[in-house]
Formats: sequence, C-alpha cells, structure tokens
Amino acid sequence: MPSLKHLRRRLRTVNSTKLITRAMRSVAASKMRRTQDRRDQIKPYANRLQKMVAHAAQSVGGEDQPLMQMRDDGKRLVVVVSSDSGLCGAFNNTVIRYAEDYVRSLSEEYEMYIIGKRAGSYFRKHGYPVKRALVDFKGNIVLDRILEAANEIKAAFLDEGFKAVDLIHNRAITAMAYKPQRERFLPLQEEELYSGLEEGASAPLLDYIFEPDAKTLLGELLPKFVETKIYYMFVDAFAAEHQARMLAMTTANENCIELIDALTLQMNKARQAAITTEITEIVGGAEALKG
Amino acid sequence: MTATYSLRIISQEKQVYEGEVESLVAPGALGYLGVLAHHAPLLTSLTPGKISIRDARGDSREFRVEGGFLEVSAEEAVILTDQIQEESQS
Repeated sequence: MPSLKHLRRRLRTVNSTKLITRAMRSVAASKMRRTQDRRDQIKPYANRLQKMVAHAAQSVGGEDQPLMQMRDDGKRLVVVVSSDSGLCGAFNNTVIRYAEDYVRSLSEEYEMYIIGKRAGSYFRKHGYPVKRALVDFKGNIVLDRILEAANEIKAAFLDEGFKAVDLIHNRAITAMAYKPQRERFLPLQEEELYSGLEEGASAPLLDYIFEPDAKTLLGELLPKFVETKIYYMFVDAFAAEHQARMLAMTTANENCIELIDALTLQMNKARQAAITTEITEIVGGAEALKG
Repeated sequence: MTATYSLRIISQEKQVYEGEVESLVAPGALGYLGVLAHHAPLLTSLTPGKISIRDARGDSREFRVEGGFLEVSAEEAVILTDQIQEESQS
C-alpha cells in the first residue's frame, strides 16, 4: 500500500489538474461560441455573393474565367488545416492521417500548403513536400491573415502553375463529433457557380443590367467567392477544433474527479490503518508494562 | 408618400445596415448611380467612393466604401463590401 504522504501528494496533483482542465474547457467553450458567431456572420455575405455569382454566370457562363481553367500539367496543391496546440483529442491525428492517405494515393506531383503547427511539423518531419506552413492562428479568426492565405492559395493556382487545389480540414458534424473532409476547390466547377440559385429560378435573367458587363463582373466576383470559401473553411475547421478541445477537456475533467474519489478513499483507508496500528502498538505496550 | 424598398449592406464581419430606404446613391463601375424603388434588376461592382442613403423617415446616412458589389433585385437591394465606414454627419 502506498504511504500516506505519497497519496496526499498525488491527490494534490490530480486536484490541480482538475482545475486546469476545467479552465481549459471554459476557454475552449467561449472560443467555440465566438467562432460559431463568426460563422453566422459570414453566412449572409456568402449567400448573397453566391447569388450574385449565379446571376452573372447565368448571363455569360463560366468561359474564360481564370479561376475555372482546367489544366493538364502542373502540380496539385493540397491545403490542410490542423491546429497549433494539442490537448484536443484525436483532432490533429485524424486530419493528418486523412491527408496523408490522400496524398499517398495521388499519382501526380503535389505540394502541401499547411495551416497549423501540428500538421506542419508532422509533414515536414516525414519528408513531404511542404510549400508553406502557416502557424500561430491559435484557433482565432484573424481576417487579415486568412485573406493573406486566401491570396496565396489563389496565386498558386493563377500564377504559379498549380493545376488544382484541394482543401482538407475537419468539420463539425454534430455537437459531439467532427470528421475530416476533402473538397475539390480549384478550378471552380461550372455547377458551383449556380449553387446560389433559388429553386425554379433557372430561366436566365435577360433583363438584368450588368455594369460594366457580366463577364467582367464575374471576373471580379469569383476571386471574392474563392476568398469567402477559404474564410468559411477556416471558420469551420477552427470551430471543430474548439469543439474537440472542449470535449477532450470535459473528459479529462471527469477522469480527474473519478481519480480524486478513488485516491481519497485509498488515503482514508491508509490513514485508518495507520491509526489502528498505532493504537494496537500503544495498547500492546501498555499491556507489556503491566505485565 | 414616396415608395421605399429594403436595403442591406453586408460586410464579411457584420451586417452594416438593414432597413427601408427611399433612395440610394452608390459609386458603380460606370460612375455614380441612384436607385429608387422599382429599379430594374442590376448587378454592378463598386468603386471607392461614397454611398448615400435616404431612409423611409427621410434621414440620410453616408458611408465610405473601398469597393464591393451592388445587386438590385425585385425584392431588395444588397451591397456586399469588405471595407466600409460610416461618415460622421456634417
């Protein structure tokens, strides 16, 4: 049986772990709420933008749009979103393994564009071609930095000869679960342009006035569309990260409580045993003196 | 009473304005344009400049934009912009 002193020390440690996990859970919870707010805020913007794209595309179609150009040669750019810090369960492992399986299955050349320290160091260490790794978002939505990333990803496709861009990130599917998913992002697909249309509004809007003209407009709308989609991806992935962390910390906290119960019981037993031994000794001693 | 229509100004971070307006003047791609109720459907990009709104109660507000898009449809008018700032009343 462990000594009383030893048990006391362990109990103290577990207790402070309990406090830390509880604090981290609250932090993750509030960050998650904030991220979800951001997602709700971008939604109307994204929806409207999608409608505008659809309206302009109905008039001219997607021809000659640089962001929709299919190319046969060139590398593929694989964007992976992970987190900067751990303690969020299998969150990073899941997305890293998913991305690794995917790039291994590719028969063509590729490079990786990584967000978050975890995936960054993993893929670098294992010798994967990492074009760039952005770190230190710490799960916060910083518009400027995200737009910077969006511009780099856009530029890779438009100017650096990458023929396609895939996005891999975790997405929260329920309040308890998340799942990694892959999206074919660039070149934009024709049908994606029309995804903003309401049901039954398939007839072209001939009486629309476009200034300067529909094609130029679409050319200006699409880069914004791409930016917004990347922004959305960040928000989605970060929301899933905070959710995963909250869940991990809740479990850790519960485990601490269980452990504390068990240790307290053990400690009480040990103390009782010590007292019993002492009394027996005293009584035994007294008996001996009487003798 | 003058006819009004509903206008929404949305940025990536928040909804900047929502309400019934009488008129809107915005810096379109081909120069400033005014929008009254029952305007024909229109889609234009915006250039840096000033957006002036006259709302249903007759109050005016002005915003400075650095670009964006304006769509006028049968139901409403929507402005999407990344950089917008309300100008203080003078």
